Amino acid sequence: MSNKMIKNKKAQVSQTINWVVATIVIIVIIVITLLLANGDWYNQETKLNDKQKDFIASKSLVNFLSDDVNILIIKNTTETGDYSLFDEKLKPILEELSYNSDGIWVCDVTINDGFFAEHFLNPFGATGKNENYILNIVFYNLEKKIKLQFENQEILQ
Amino acid sequence: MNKKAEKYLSMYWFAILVIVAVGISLIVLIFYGKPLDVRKTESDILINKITDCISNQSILRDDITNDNFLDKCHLIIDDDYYIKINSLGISAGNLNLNEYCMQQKSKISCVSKKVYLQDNGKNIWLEISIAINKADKNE
Repeated sequence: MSNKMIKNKKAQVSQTINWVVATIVIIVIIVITLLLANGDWYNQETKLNDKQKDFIASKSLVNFLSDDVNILIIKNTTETGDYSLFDEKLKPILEELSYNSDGIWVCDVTINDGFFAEHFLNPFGATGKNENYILNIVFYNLEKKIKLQFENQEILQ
Repeated sequence: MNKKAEKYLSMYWFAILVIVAVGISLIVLIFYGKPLDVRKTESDILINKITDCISNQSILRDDITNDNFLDKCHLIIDDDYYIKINSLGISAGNLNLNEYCMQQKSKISCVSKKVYLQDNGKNIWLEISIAINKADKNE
């Protein structure tokens, strides 16, 4: 009888030690989480997560392409292969946009669904001529995951 | 297990339950209880609205002046706001906020963005600056 009681007590002591350790672990976890929640390690500024979040840059690009003169410059550039006017007109805009927002704005010009050129800091790599132009201008900002696509058929046909 | 031990264990369980419940409640309260700073987003939206107001299909309107700016743009601003459009000579709101923006470590949110517009056949970059105070609500 006495042996059985001693065995029971040993079991109870080991269970108690388990729970004491478990309690300490629980309290430590809660304290660490409380400290993390109370800290300023995370950014409290809100940001719009949709793709149109940089609507000011988008507006500037729409305004740029709503000017027929700018479209004609892009068209002439693709026809002649002379990018001086294009550089003069478009490059400062991309630079200004990149300066004003996060990430770098890049412009791709596509003709007849084929990849034609990429432009920002690098000069155009190819030139082409086609009677039936469909000028497809895509502005994108990889960092912000924004892609703005514009298509112009009327002026170029 | 004897009854006395069971009694202590149930009390112990209850204590653990209380510690965990209170801990989780505190964590949630502290994390979500902090104010979210929406002033930069608010400034962006305000700049967008002002751009829509002062331009008509990318062309700068010439009938907007410093006197009629707030009326034409249907803006009602209090002392927590300051709006400035450099090249048009338009400014409205609490002028002191503009000075605070110059200081480093200012608690005021200052946003300045440029918008591409056309004015009399010329392409211009219009700089719109917004300062929002509301510092006490974002601490």
